[in-house]
Amino acid sequence: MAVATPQRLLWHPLAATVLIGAVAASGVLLHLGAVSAASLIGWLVAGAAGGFAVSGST
Amino acid sequence: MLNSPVWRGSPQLAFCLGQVLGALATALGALVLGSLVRLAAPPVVWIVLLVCWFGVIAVREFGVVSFGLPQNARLVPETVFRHGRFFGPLQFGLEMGTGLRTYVTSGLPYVLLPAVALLASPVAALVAGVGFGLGRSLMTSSNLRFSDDNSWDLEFSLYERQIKTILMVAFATGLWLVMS
Repeated sequence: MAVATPQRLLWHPLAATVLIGAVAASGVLLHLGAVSAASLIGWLVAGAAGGFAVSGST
Repeated sequence: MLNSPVWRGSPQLAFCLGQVLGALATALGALVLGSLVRLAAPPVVWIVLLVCWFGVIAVREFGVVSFGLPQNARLVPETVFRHGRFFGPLQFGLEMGTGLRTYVTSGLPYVLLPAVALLASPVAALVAGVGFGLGRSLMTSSNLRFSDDNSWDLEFSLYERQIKTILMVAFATGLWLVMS
């Protein structure tokens, strides 16, 4: 089994997924703060989630 | 293939740039076509339909139901690299970024595309396109930096259920932000 080095943790597929989730959460906070950019964050997150979800195809 | 030395440095950047450009092209194409279709009904109708469609795709993602979706079920040929270290990966990335070039292993793009077509403003379509390209590029970047032995793909498979769940929640949150 591979050693869990910082590099492997940082670039792990779950880390990338959590990053997208964190951006989504920040969008929610912006929305709760009535910041109009929250909608664009929503589009960005939906796009990124859709793009990353097809990672298995490359 | 991604761990080949030719993917380091500028080829990788060209590939990622191509993916963003390809995704932008698809998003703008969907926006143009959708701007005609969306005239047929008020936005609330499209929102209800999209939410229902997302529900169907969500249960499909977790294997509750199974049905095929249209895709270009072909592998990308090696000939895409004939244009050199920059334009080869750029073209390859552009074709991959469109989402129309090869297999599509998730249902989420099938919700994103009609959402862009039916709900997005021009700026929103651009942002969604950039997001899709960045999402694909995130895979390339993290795969290359994770290891040299393609074990990123193995890790993706190992944690696929968790990854799918988080992406599904993030996607649903994104749609909610867009629709609210």
